[in-house]
Amino acid sequence: MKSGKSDTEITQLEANTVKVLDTVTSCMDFSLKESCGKCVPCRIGSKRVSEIIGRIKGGDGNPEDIKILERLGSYMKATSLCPHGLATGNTLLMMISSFRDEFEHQINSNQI
Amino acid sequence: MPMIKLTIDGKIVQAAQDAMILEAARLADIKIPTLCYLKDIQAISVCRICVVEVEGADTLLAACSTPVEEGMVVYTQSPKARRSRRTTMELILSDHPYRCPVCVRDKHCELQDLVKELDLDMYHTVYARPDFPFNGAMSSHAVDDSSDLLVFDPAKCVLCQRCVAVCREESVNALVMKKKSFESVIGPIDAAKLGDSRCISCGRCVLACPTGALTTHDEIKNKLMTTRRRFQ
Repeated sequence: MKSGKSDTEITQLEANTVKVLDTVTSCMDFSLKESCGKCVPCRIGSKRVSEIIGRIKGGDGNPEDIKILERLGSYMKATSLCPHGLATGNTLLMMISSFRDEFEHQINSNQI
Repeated sequence: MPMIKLTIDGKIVQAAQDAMILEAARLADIKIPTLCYLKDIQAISVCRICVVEVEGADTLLAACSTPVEEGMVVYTQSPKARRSRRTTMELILSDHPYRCPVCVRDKHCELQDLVKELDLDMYHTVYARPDFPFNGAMSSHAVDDSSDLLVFDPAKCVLCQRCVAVCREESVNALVMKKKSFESVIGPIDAAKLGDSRCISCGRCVLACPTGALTTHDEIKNKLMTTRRRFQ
């Protein structure tokens, strides 16, 4: 793929991938850091979400991970004690529904 | 006291005006599983095990701390509530080491009972499942055995804060929840170790603990305290 157009496209996609995942990572790490640790969905849920996103970003993600993230997102949205957990779940679900192809691209590009 | 009417699982229930959903349901013989709730001592809704679905509410509500309202329609066993409870339990277990066979509270553990009640199996459907989704880091805090009576193992702690509530009720106020986020841990308020704190070694926290996190040095005391009648 030597043509300028394809290269540009590919470069652009990669840049976008890194950017979206960086944004999600920083959002979720912030949520984890700011969690008070009282209720289970926020304390352990945010930790697992951060771990899974870190795994996807590090290239060890598998296609099931998106389903797990969606499950955790809707679970946190419905069950958390205070609006912090609700907002975390909401952000995660919105990120996945808006940039699902970026997540899938990141996961598939590292599959052998 | 004026009574009000509400519907729980299709059953019309009468309850006092200031009652919580959980109390109203228990009066009507409807069972809602609980973990952090202690009758008349603590209802802080942090374990999220007692969540129920209420018609008109966007989120699931904790039955132990939601007051009843006239004409309220509550579903305790709706698919959404059941799914949520199971996920909560799976998350708790993902941060709880599988040392049941050597734990002092094995067979007398409220966490084990709850796992059974939620149709999960501690070993076969959680720890040994190859596709268990929530495998990850566990919190790492050192065991505190500096006290003359108590041994506290934070790895087994589920942070239900029942020990904190009974300590407060006993007017000792030695235990609090320290730090925040995933690093949260129960510890003495005025020292790093229980042995140096204002703890008077009354042992009520051992009785209140649902798991084997709070135990004693003495094996006979352990047997007596862990096989006692249930709090709830």
